[in-house]
Amino acid sequence: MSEGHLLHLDFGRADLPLMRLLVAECLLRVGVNERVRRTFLQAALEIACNAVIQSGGSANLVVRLADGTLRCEVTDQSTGPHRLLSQGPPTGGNHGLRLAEALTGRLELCPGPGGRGTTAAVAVRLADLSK
Amino acid sequence: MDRLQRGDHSCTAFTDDEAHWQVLTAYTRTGLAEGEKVLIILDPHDLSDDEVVARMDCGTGRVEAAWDSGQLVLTRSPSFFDFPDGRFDKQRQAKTFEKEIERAREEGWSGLRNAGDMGWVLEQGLSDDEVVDYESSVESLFADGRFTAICWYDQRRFSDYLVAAACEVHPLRVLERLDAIDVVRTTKGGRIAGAAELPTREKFTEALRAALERPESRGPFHFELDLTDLTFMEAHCAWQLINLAGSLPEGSKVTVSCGPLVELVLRGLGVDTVSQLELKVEEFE
Repeated sequence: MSEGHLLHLDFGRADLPLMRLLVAECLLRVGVNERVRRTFLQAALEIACNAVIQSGGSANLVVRLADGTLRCEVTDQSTGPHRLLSQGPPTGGNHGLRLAEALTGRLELCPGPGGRGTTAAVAVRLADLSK
Repeated sequence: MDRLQRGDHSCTAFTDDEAHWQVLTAYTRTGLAEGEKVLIILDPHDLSDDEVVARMDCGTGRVEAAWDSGQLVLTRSPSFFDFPDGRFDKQRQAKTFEKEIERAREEGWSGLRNAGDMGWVLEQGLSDDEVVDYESSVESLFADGRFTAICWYDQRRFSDYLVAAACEVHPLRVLERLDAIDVVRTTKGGRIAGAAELPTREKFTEALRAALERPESRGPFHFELDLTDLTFMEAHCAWQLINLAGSLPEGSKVTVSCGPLVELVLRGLGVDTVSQLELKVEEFE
């Protein structure tokens, strides 16, 4: 399995369907199993969709594999970061982020580079998922 | 598109060039990632080879590299097909593909993935019946799973009759867009195929409401919802389904047939706590 930078895309709402296939393709190329592909793809697409909704425009997606961890970061141009979600039943418009966190066990939300926008990230350790 | 498997013979009919190229890009890149050789047969008046590669590459360098290495081959219909004396011969056409399948095997690829513009049948003056007969006649090429194909029909060039007949004769039809939703009523409920995501969210939700909202009925309600050809479901759409089913009268049952990805989403959002929802999960090959 080759480590490193797997995918880097600028995208908007209309690009989401193709981006779904491109993320799936890069996971196929690194040889992760189908279960990991399903889980990671869903989580990555949820944070990407959320970024488009929050920013109302374009965002940036990076997928990388390093030290056995697959990581997807999405940075939007919204006005500020989300508050980290509290535990409880899904409400409001946060189903996507909650699902991303539930699937990967690791959702990070922080201000984007230079304090602009929000960066959301999901990550999975491949060794953990293979158990 | 993302349900296609090796050995599938499919067709697609389109009018939107941008959406069509997105489908071809996804199809091509999936094949390249799986170690297949990809052969695309273009109309001579279509985009140039450089434009096709740039469009599919999306700045990643992967499609460019595949073109340079020979894993991706772009060709044009008059030069690819052999028309001695200008005559069409379906057996000779099949032989041409057999040679390409064998060439891909000899080159070490895991299979041959083909997509082709069917505009050449117009140039050759084939009748509608001859086109349908030809499409049926190549079915044996797909038997061993080494060959996969999408035959594409530009609806602006073909008659409605031929497009319908071509779609009928192919075992599978690829939706025109990656973000398409196809809703069909069935005797016991309904079927939704495609991808439920942000661009299709509204249509998906409307279809669910039309199927499950029962404002004037207080009695139990039974509905079979076939989502086995739904290849992606975002959390928002899944939550709409859970919410609508959960609002049905006690004793109601919505039986959802789906694949593992949709199951993952529905279970992740708590479908097991909604008594009105039942999942029947099909494992795909």
